[in-house]
Amino acid sequence: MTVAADADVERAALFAQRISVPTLVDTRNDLARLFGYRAIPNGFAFGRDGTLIGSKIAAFEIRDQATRDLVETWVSTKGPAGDATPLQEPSPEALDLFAEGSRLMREGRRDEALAAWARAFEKGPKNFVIRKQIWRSLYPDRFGDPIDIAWQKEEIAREDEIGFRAANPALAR
Amino acid sequence: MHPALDVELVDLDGRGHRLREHLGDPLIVFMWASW
Repeated sequence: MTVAADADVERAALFAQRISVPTLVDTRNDLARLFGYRAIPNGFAFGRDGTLIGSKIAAFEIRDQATRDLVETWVSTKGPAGDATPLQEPSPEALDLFAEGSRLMREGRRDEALAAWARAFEKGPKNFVIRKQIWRSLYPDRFGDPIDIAWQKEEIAREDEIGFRAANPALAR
Repeated sequence: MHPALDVELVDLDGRGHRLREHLGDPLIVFMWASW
């Protein structure tokens, strides 16, 4: 199955229409707290008894043969396999602020939500889940089909150069 | 039982679900995002 790390279920649903397995949405980014990731794509495998038998953080690229091999191993051995991926240890404060922002967004309080997300990103400046969620809200035109990866690279360079808030003046304090 | 299996997620209609409802042999979860 798949889990989308989107705060917005409707946005996730647009993409999920093409996925043939069940999809759930982690609107509060709660799984990041448990698995310790700051970026996606990620893959996790659980045994029938609910134990975690494998994980791949931030590099679970299904187009890569190595990822497909890892999944095959999970399926065939039904046990621990592959290299354990080091956790990224996201800032708990950043995750709390992000969850607060997601709640505000669901309540339609967009400006307050963006302000909370911006504070979250400042607490965890390496957190791409938070950074991209902010972009997604500020620049929806950049997230059509296909997603504008070239723009994302330019935006990262611009933010690194002049600072995150200066590069995104629409963010409220 | 891993704690992630009890996290409340939502389906595409906004209804609450937990990964434990989908346990298989094994359950493989692919995490992605629209962004």
